[in-house]
Amino acid sequence: MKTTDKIRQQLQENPVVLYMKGTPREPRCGFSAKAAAALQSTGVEFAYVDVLAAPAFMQALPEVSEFPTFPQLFINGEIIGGSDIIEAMLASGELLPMLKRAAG
Amino acid sequence: MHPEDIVERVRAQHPEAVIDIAGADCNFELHIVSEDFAGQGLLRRQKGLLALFKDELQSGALHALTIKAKTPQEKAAESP
Repeated sequence: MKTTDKIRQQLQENPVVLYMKGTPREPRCGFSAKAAAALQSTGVEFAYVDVLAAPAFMQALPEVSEFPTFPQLFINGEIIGGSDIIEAMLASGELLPMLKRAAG
Repeated sequence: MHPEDIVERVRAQHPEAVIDIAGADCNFELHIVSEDFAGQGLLRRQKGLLALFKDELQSGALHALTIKAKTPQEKAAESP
């Protein structure tokens, strides 16, 4: 299976996915740390993929999302954005209802 | 990358914008205020700006570009 197909499958199977450097417990980049912390603060469950441990994903994901940097948050298969956008949406109150709707 | 190069490239796409940049080496924060962003969501604004640095982001010459893109109206609405 091609990596881009694997990514599309992950996005189909998981309503909320964070592609990040490291893990929520041990983030390996400040931006990934911020994104994971913002998501965790909502209490909604999310899947994550450590792109440092999966270099093929790191290469292929920007093709799927047309977004060049990490982390990248997807809700219901759609790219939401990176840490700036996640934090802005958390602050504005948009993030939580969106996550709750997706995680159902 | 040099901050001047980043500003120059952004300026070419947004000639009327107010642009401010902080950071060094491969990690920058870009503040940009422009009418061009009216009607665009955050993702659309970021994608447009990040697309200018596609090659550098891929090669790692630029690791992160934090983008705060606002319209003049949004900027004015912020508390001082």
